[in-house]
Amino acid sequence: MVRVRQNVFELGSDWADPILWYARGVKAMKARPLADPTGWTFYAAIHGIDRWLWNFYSFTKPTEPAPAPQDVARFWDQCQHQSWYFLPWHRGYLMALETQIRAEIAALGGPADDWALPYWNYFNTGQNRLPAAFLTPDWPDGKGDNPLFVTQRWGGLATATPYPIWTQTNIKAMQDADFTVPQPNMSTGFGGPETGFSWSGDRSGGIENNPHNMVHVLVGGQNDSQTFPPDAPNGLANQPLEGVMGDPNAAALDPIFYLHHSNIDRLWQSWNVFPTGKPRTNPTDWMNPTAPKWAGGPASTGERAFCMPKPTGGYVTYTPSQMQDIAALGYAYDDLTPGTLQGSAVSMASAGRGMTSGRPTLASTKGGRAMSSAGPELMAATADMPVAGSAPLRLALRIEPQVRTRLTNSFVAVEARPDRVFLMLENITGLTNAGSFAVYLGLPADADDSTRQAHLAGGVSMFGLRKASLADGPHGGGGISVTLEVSDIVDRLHLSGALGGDGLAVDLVPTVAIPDSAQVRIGRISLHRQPA
Amino acid sequence: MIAGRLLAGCGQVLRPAPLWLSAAGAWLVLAMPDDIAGHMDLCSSALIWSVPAPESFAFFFSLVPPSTLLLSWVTMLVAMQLPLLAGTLHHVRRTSFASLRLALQTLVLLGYLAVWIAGGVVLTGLAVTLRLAAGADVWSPALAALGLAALWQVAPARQRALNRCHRFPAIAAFAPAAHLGALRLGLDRGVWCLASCGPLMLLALLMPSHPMGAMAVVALWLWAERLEPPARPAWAFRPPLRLLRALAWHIRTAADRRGT
Repeated sequence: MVRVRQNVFELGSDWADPILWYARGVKAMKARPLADPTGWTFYAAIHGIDRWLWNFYSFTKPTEPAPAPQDVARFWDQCQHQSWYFLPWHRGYLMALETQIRAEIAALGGPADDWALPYWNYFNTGQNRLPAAFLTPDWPDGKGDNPLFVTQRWGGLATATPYPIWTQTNIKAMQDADFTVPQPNMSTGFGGPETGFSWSGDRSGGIENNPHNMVHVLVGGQNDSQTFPPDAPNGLANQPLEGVMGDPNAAALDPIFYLHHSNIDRLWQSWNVFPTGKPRTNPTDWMNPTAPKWAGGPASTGERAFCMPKPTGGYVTYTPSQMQDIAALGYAYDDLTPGTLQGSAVSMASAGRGMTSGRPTLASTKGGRAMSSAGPELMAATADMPVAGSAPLRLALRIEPQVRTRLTNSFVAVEARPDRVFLMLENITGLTNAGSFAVYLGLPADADDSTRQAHLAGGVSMFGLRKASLADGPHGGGGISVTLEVSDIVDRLHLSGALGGDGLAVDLVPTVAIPDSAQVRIGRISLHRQPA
Repeated sequence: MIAGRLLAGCGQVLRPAPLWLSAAGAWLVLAMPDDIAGHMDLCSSALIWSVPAPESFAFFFSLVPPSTLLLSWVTMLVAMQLPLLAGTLHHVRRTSFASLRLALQTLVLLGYLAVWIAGGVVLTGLAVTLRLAAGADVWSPALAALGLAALWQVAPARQRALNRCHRFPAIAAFAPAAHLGALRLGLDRGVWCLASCGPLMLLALLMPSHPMGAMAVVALWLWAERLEPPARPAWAFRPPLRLLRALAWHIRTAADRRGT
């Protein structure tokens, strides 16, 4: 049997059967205690748990017992982020939840067999708003306790009004033909850099960075009028309240989480096969990794196995290789078009790169060929440690002239492809998950809107920042780093003669407010050339 | 094939060959038989136990000069601790200008060794003091060091120190700030590494017999620990079994394949 995941906005009504039964299933799961592996809070803890925060928001009671230690060790805190396991782990997580919800539907006498999670494609016209069933505290009959409703949603995308999502995020990653790129290359590929279990890496893959991370923050947001109490642990003290979707240790408590991830999973399948016959310059283009370490998952290198509870008791473990063919898993999507909104079209056509020399263009080369063995090279960096706060920040990248010469030489070489260029924000640390900012490269001081858009390197979301910044957290306090490809911007700067000076401006513009109290710091901003 | 996959899985920890070659050279020097012409025994614990029942520091140091002890300690560091710096040097190389890489890595190394040499003065001094206090009872100092190392092994403070070793901060790109940053990184790494490994190194210094075997066990333990991810500080014994778990996974998977 093939179960079809459908667009939540195209089910026929706000409370069409797939949503209604999802709500009933969630309600049944929510009735169970934290220690029950078939309960809602247990499932959310599989992604990640901050017990203090959960108690504070009343998702759990302080007196509620935790599960047995072996269950905690086996199941909890598994979410894979900043990792090439991000997509396959979350696919298995969605399937486990669907199996559980189907068990609930069956117990309620509903149509369980073909039920599947809908997806939320916020890149479709008119669908860039929260689905109606998640907005109201009431069931369709007007009675309260709608289990799909969560109070702690304060982001711009969590309302009934369409939100200009393209101003914050994009799906450019869909154009990157590489799932992963061997380190130390700067590209993180579509699916993420090679890592071990969970947060052992510090850079998200393309699709994880945008739109995944940004949508989490755009739904979660923060409550600017209320703060956590002074005795809150883990850096939360006196910070503005955050929406649960913005924190990896709470996000899966929100039922919209699973529709968001259903869409991310759909984009993975779309990247694999849509459109049919898209350009391929390398045999591995648009294909999942074949490396044994990816296929076998972290268990193959002695780390935790991916593991989900079963409705009937016991558990199942899985590997990425078992997750890579969604058709073989019995699922399909009703539509693989990435999106219809402005900025969401995935173009396979040529961009302007190399236009002056008739050389291969960016879009025809990007991600579509093997990386050079030469490795990346640092080309420019900020001289100080910038602090990002609530105000826009302009910084100067100091360029190393010899490396710039090597870059510009690659633009005119006949035999080789042009270098790719990446902007890296290294070691971002802070006490918030809710902020985000846009990054511009080489922006003129008097730029109009269209010029600003042309210089937009990308968006940076704070999703998971606080956890990554804790000294005893999985990153050892090193925070997160973000890599943004800026090859096309650097091309234009080169063609306009703006690459010849000693410095290059980088502008950080908060798009979701970053409170100064969050102490967001960036270790360094750097520019790297990556020989093709 | 399985071994190859495991080594590949260990990632950057095992990459920089010069560190491992240096360590291998140090192990060879330490293992060299005493009867080779002109060879001076450089095994620290062998030196400490080479003086039968010393009565005073003056007597001990008249037979084992401090300079010899220092040289043996540095050899021991190169053999046991240098490989732990592999990930840090890789990080510096990856994030610096080519023209500065050699200088920056050298500064990291100097900072790291400076802390360890300073720590060595304390640890070696403590070992000699315990040796003198023990007199003819050769096992009491080792047992005391074992107790201290065991207690420290399960302490939350030690886990905190190990966690700090997993942090890779950005360093400035341009000189002279880059040089200062590299030196600071080496010092920082040295401090946390010394804090996490010091008691085990003291144990290795105080083993009255089979010193090379004890050093090898301690070194393997420390290297294996570095493959484990950061963990929440708590009173807990966390044996570094990642390589064994990986081996078990591959054996199980291969058996499953044969069975299907």
